[in-house]
Amino acid sequence: MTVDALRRRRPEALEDVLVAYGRELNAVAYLILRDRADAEDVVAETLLTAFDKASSIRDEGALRAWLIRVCTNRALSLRRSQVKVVHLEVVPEAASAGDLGTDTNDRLVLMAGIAKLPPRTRAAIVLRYYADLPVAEVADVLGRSPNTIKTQLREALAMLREGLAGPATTSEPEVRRA
Amino acid sequence: MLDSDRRFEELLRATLREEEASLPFTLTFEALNERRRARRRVGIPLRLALVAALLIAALAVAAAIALSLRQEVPDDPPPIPPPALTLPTTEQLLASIDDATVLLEAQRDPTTDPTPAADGRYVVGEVQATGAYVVSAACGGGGDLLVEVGTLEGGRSYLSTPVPCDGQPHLAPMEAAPGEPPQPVTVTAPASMSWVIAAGRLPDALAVAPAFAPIEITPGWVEVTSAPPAIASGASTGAAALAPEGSTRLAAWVTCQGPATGTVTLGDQERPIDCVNGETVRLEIPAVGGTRYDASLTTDGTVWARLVLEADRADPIA
Repeated sequence: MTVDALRRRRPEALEDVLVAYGRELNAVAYLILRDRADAEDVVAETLLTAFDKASSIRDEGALRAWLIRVCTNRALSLRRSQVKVVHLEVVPEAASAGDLGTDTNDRLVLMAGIAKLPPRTRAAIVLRYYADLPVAEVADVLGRSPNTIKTQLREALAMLREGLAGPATTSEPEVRRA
Repeated sequence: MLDSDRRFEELLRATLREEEASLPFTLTFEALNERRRARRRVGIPLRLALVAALLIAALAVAAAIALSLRQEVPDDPPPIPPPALTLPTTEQLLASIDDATVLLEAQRDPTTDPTPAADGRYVVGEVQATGAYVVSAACGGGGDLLVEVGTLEGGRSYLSTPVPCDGQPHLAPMEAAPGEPPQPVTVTAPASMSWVIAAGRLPDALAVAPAFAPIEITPGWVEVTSAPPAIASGASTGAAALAPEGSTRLAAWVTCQGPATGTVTLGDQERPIDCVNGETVRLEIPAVGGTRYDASLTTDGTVWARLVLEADRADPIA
């Protein structure tokens, strides 16, 4: 219904897509770009692309994957602009006992680790573990073979787990290899 | 899959979902509609533009005839038009890359090709490459030209970049994965614009990013950002970052490799760098927390480069 309405360029279809997929697309774009304003910009352009090019969406079942693919490609394209504004990504100090709950600290450390991944690897993580796309679809979106994506994911997970394990807690910031 | 692997993946999923839940989303249908209307205002349909131009031309001719019948005083000589902007050749577009192999070249001159493409989109060819290559374009006649490599829906590498029409080459680095199929290259430009575009594969020595030695953050400092290796060619390339709250010093580490020398700039400080010998330099400046600082590398050739920014401290996240 929505794809058909998009093809007929019904404005209410645009609102339907915004309500149904906007937040998810925003999260995909933000997790890749790490910039809220840029993420919303990418989402807006993605939805307008759906409105303009609905004829290239196969059917209703393909709409979500199509939107995620376009959103990811726009975010990665934006990310490759020559001058990038990188917002504060502080490497969080390891928690002292009693400071933060273990879970909260784990999540902070994980997000910091994800932010340090190369953009396409980060996109693979986001598509696989946030958008829950199967590996084959992640590979299709990112233009890589499934085996390459599996290797990327395996290596990324290993890096993230290593970051989580970390050295013993200390109040001094760690020396990190860039 | 081990239980611990499964648990870690669940933690990762929960973390990403929690990040999404805390993310504000302010885009509204009204804002989308306004953006859609703005697009339509800018992109006046070609047919209407042509009709309007013809009407204006007809009125101008009629007015000129009427004036010539009424006046006997000779008109002022017509103004001398500004000299036409000479656009670079393909060789000049790729001049900053020694031994580049030309993969694609195309151009359009509206004076010799008066028939514009529908919607102003010109598919100029396809690029098939392995490894690093660059796309370079120049244009004249005002406004911006948009270059696209790949397609949004195609699920492959995609680049979309505007090119300011100042008559100068503007390069964008690209990287093709092994076995990647040919990528279409599209130029979107107004009918009155002249442009040239070329794609060039980097020589074998630069086709793959070198394995740069790790950069150790200064003891007691914190990493602000670490960019992966990227092609830097000619014009300035770099990154900008906000100095963390509580910091008083900011430093940029830049390492590069390739047949060129360059200048590293951080804020208003700069230092030369020798990419031929794979030099790494560190440039440090006083900083004010929350202030944006630009770090860049400008080279006289094509190199691979890596940038890391660090700060002397950062207040914990509130």
